[in-house]
Amino acid sequence: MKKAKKKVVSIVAVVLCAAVVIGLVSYDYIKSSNEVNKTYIAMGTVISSSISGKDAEKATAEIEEAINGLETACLSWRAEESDVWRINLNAGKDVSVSRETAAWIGRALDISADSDGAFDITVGKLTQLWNIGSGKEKLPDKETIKVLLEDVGYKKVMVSNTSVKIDSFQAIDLGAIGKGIACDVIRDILKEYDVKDAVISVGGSVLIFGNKASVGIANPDNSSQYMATVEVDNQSISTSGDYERFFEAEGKKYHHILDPESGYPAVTDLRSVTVICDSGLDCDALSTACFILGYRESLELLEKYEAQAVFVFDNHTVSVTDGLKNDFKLTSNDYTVE
Amino acid sequence: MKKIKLFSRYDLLVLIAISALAIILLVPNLFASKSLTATITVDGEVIERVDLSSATGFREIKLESDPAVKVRIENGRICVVEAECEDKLCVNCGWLESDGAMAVCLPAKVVVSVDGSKASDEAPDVITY
Repeated sequence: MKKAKKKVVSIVAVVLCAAVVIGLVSYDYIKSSNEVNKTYIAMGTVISSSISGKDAEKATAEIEEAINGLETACLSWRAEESDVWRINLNAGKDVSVSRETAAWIGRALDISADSDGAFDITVGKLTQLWNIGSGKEKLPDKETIKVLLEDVGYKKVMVSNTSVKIDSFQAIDLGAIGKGIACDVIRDILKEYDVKDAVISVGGSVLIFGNKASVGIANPDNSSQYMATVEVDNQSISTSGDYERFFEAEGKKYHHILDPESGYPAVTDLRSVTVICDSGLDCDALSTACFILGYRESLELLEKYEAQAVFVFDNHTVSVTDGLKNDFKLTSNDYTVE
Repeated sequence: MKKIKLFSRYDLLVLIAISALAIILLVPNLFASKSLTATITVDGEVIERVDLSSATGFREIKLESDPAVKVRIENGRICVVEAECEDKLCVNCGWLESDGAMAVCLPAKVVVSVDGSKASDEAPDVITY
């Protein structure tokens, strides 16, 4: 009897050992064999994608194709025949566009209204005037800025399901939300495939699909490093900061986030704002709006869009919204949390 | 006192066999995850993958991009050493030697990226900027 019992115990032990070993090996094999990593240039920026799951290869290929199409068919103000190019060319007239473009512009106008114009896609001509990040920047004269400011105003843009009309002298620029829109398009593609999880960066606007992932927040003093991490679960995350694109003239630094009220780079005590929410477009637009609005005025806007945020101030302090406190971790000793 | 024998000789043989199999299957992957690989792409096309962990000595690769870009590999690290673009942002990235490091020349559509084991368990999966 004792002998039989001992035999059962030893068989169970062997089976358990075997199960653990087989489990470990299979997990390691499945994990490594179904992950596709790719880095490439599209939309004038760097796209890094890491996708795992049975259809990782197919999804990666479709995403690359879709991103290139998105730029040339819809978003670019430079690409001839894109929706935005045609809207600007035919300013003052109703222009037929894809349902998607109309919906994105409609959403952008909602955020413009809710941010009291801090975020505004009609700064197109001002953006072109400043041309920050081109390498050929020069300080525009005050009079030109004043004249162009007269045509800035999201309220003059009319959108239906399939058409957009801007005022005769306006130009729109979706550059501030293009990367976030790309994240949303990518999420829709991933949903169509048998994909377990994905981490995609479209020029720093990030989509976390499936499992939780750790996202580093760029250090404004050295953007190739991170100063904090935040755990993101199946959402998008974007950052707007004064360190991304800027130039110096007459001893002063001019960054690329233009205040639609002044026509000049936003004056703020912030170095960057990182926003986390379900939609990439919302993240991009809200991070720009919050950077311009400043900390206090941003809180109500973030609440309305059920978004969380990390504010990095120029005195090296950091503020984090309540919903993020458990998932946020400061990693640089140069900063303190308020 | 009588010794308690939990496993018979055959059970032990089975256990050893399973463990040996596990080691054979897992060890190569464990070593692989510690390696660093640099990938050089031009316009989305992979030009070369370089195992930085085993790269010794000095080598330069002149990429057929427009504008032209030259990459240098030296003792387990890689950098863009020359670029005929205006801003030279890619050259200014310096040496790339850890997981996630990247140098990009947008005008030439050149990406040099390094993948491998995370610098530490606390290192993030991606950076927002």
